[in-house]
Amino acid sequence: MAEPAFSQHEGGAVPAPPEAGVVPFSATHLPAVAGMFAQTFRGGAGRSAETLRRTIAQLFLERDAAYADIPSLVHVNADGRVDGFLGVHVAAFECAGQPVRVAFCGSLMAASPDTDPFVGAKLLRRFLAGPQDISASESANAVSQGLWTRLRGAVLPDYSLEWIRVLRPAGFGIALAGHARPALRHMAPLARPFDALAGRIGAFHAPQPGPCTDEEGDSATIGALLERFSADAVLRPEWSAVDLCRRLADARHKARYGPMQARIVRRGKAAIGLFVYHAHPDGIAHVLDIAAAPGQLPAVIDHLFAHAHARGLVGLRGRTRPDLLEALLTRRCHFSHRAATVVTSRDPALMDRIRSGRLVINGLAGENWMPLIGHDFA
Amino acid sequence: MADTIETALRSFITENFLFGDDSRTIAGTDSLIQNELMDSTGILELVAYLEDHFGISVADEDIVPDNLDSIDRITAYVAR
Repeated sequence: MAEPAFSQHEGGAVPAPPEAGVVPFSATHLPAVAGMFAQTFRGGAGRSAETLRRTIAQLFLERDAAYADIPSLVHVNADGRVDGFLGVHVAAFECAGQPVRVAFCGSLMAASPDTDPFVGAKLLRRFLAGPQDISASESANAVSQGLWTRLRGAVLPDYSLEWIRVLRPAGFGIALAGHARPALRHMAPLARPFDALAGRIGAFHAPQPGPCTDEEGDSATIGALLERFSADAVLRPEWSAVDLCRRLADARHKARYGPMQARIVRRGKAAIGLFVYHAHPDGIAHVLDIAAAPGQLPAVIDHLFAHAHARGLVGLRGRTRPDLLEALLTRRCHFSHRAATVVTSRDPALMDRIRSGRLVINGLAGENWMPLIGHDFA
Repeated sequence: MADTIETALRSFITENFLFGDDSRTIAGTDSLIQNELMDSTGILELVAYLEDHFGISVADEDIVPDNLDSIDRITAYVAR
């Protein structure tokens, strides 16, 4: 039930239209939210695409009834027009063995953030006042990162860097340029002679796969491995409650990044790790997730690099976390900042536990698997 | 009462939105948004300040330009 909203005028509080202010997202808001998403994040493309509406509805409306008290939110202005949205994905997690509800906040957007900065501020404030145990985001841009920190959220620097590994430098440059001008991707074959030459130089030697092999991973195996590999984490999803089959199916919809590879890495018969990435031919792999058994992360990363190189890819990029950061530092990676992972809880004891150990809140555990990140809706 | 509130507000705005530059004059009716003194982050900063400093509770529905977009409006809102 939305609380009534009021606008303060000289004569006192005047009731605004019944639905004005911050209210729970409902099906009636869907066309406006889809249009705003297309305008904000896709330059207007796909604003009336049924697939976009369907995706937003699946992610933010068709949810587990247990999370009905933590809805996605819209802001409705005094004219009754939707001018802000905050998508909320709630999931069951374990924090030091205790069940907790983690609410991820993504797709925070306002129709006119420069002229009406009140919208984003109100949406985020309402979200953070919700009944979830932990609030988080792994896609906070500079503006929303500022909002989070003002509301006592903690930025996790070790989880907020993007790592980049260049495999083929000339092709990598063309692929990067192709993000801005897709026609440039047709120049990829021209890079191959230069990259063949660069491959003879130490820094760009073909990565060696080591003693490992890999195979296509099904959702059941991946789910079991994610559970096993995250056993020592202080905060991790309740993997048994995650419909990983559906999540992996959703994760495949990233047309901007390319087809998905979900591979199990084995040493002999033993599964020691897994990785999931998206890449176009001759493109840059967007690594969604890497997981490994204790002590096996370096071998899994080496195998990932070799796998990408063998497929003709020109580089890889992904999100850091503390254990990855340590392994990547010695593997000719570059680091930059694009989006921050932020987390907060009203419970100081919970925040202390969160700060005390490894967190599994990115990739398949977080929100970057969603088609809203990396997909084109037509 | 209103003078005390306004003085405190001006001090807060100078310190946080003007980064200590007290040479810039802000009229009581100047829009903090249109004059690019306050963005969405600044709004939350301001709300936190009002709650902490004046001991009031700012409801979501009160976070609107009519209450918070100028020194005069904020003063009137706090004094209510």
